[in-house]
Amino acid sequence: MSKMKLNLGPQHPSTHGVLRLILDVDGEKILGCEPVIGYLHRGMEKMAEGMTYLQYLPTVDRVDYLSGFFNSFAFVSAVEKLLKIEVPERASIIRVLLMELNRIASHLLWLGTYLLDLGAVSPFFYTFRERELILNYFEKITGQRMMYNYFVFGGVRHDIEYLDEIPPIVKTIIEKLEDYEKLLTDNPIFLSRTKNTGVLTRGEALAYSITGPNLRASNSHLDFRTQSDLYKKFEFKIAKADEGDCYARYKVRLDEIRESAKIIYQAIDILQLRFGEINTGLKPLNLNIEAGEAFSDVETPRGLTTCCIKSDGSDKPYRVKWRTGSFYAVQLLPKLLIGNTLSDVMAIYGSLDVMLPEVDR
Amino acid sequence: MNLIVTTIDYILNWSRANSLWPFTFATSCCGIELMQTTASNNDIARFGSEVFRNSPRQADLLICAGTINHKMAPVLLKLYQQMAEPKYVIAMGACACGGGMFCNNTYAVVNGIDKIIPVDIYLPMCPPRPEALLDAIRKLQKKIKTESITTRKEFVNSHRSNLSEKAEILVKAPDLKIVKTDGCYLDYALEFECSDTQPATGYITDYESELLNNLANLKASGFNILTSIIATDWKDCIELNYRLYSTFQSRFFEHKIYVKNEAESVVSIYPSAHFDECEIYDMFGITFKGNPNLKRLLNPKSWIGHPLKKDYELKDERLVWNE
Repeated sequence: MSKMKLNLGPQHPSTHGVLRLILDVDGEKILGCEPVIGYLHRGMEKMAEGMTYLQYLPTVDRVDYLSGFFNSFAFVSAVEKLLKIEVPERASIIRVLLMELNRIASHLLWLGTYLLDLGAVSPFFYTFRERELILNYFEKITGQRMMYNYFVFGGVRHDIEYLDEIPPIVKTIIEKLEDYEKLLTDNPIFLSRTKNTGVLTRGEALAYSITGPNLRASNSHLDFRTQSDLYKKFEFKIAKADEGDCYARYKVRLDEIRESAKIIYQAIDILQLRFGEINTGLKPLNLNIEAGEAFSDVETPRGLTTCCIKSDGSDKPYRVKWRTGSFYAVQLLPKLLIGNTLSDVMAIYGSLDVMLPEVDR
Repeated sequence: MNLIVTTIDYILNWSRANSLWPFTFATSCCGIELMQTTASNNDIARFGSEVFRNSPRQADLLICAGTINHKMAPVLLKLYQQMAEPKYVIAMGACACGGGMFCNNTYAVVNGIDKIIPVDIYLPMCPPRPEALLDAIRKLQKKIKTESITTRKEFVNSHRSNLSEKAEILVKAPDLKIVKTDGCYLDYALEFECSDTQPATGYITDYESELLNNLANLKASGFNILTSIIATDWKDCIELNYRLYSTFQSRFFEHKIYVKNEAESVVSIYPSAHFDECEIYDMFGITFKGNPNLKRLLNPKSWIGHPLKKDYELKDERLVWNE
């Protein structure tokens, strides 16, 4: 078989968005790979320069629509650093609670679509059924299923309600998780597709700036939650695996769902006992933001997201920069794909959990 | 004659309306709600549309779920042209209907797909709920049932975006007179220009030339992740902030340099810098010496100008249809 170029995407059902890969193949074997991105580039960084902080707030949920709360939190907390205001305790616990629920929803979606890419259709229906429980809850408290716009500068928009509905949801999901594991963890087809496929060593992952579950599946403890003041009150383990292959990344994400559930239970306990302010009552229309710069680092389901805001003292940001985890995961693709066969492309790409809006912004 | 036409219409419309096969075309947020619509809670199969086709040749219905930007627009048009007649389009979400949240203050987004292809049903909201999508499909079915084979062609032809051979597309972009068309959507066959202005005004710090040394030393002392390179246009110079992280000391370190339009590439020390440097080249026009494959990353290859520079002008209307 002679060598040829194979174009994959930008419209391809398994890329979950609009990634384009130009592959050099020799028969089934991949000799080269060039990712082409930008098919969902929306200019979100330029947008910020023409909008006030308050106007920009609803749009940040769209940076990564599967983890809207995380992006919202990254932006809001960077502005809070510039404003030098303290967030009330209750508000920050509500934030943690919602972010962890969001993490579960995001990982569930990943699990369903990843298995869909590998050829298993039914897990897609199962995980979307469970994800819907969380989305319905989010809709009850924020009014939207995916774009929440619930965090405001200095706290959250209004107090959280229907707290007693969360434990049954989380309980159902954890129970169903065992069902998924029965279906998948020892499934010979799943194992042969994922075990020893796309092995990423710790050194490579660090060199390519990979963070989040992808890095933790390669024998690393790096989790930015442990360094954040937000999570100091909570006890949780860092989900981790040693092998660095697709299967390890699957295990890490499933374990993370369990750890997130632990955090959620603890947060509910605190919220039910202690009441207090939920925001600082700041008037967001006329913020007095001094010139300066602020960073906020958040551990999202897809790695480290940094929102960097530079202000020149006016009512609009001078520059907003989004650093996202998926951007670097795409860059890693040639490294992982070369030498594998064509059938492994989706197994490897899917296991990295790349979200294209986050890559292109 | 009419009797025959209406009878044929009735049979054709009945079969077309009840088995609309959608094309898997999801670009962004609305795509997730599209997936949710196909999943168990909102079973789309109840309306005969569960057969999602991954090839445009086999599909009847293009649900454009999500934002379309200038890089994606030619792809959308091509996919639409590849679909066989009769074909229908649902513009799902505010972005596809008219630009939505991204219609102002940004340079990248096409304000509504009806500038490119004819749309049958508009479904606004950001993003629409699955129930709303089901409603849109029902409405489309009703529309199909009232159609006649003689009028369908008129609808498509009357649309302003119909790309007959004489249609011309003008692209307006800064510093650009332009145009280039050949029946296909856009082809910015233009070279971009890097403007050379006055030399820097003393912002450039002394240690710029030692950037590589400094970073190599920092890496040796434990800062093993280059989390990102943050560029900022300060009008007279461009700041590059190399933000490092050490997994040993659990802290960040920022190394700033100020450059005019050239900088050293750090790919040899931190391989992850490659995409960062390409993005900065794309957005700010800085050339990185030593980067093996510097290219435009997010914008199309022949894009004009560097969008994140402060002197870049946003043009509201980038596409003008010459009818």
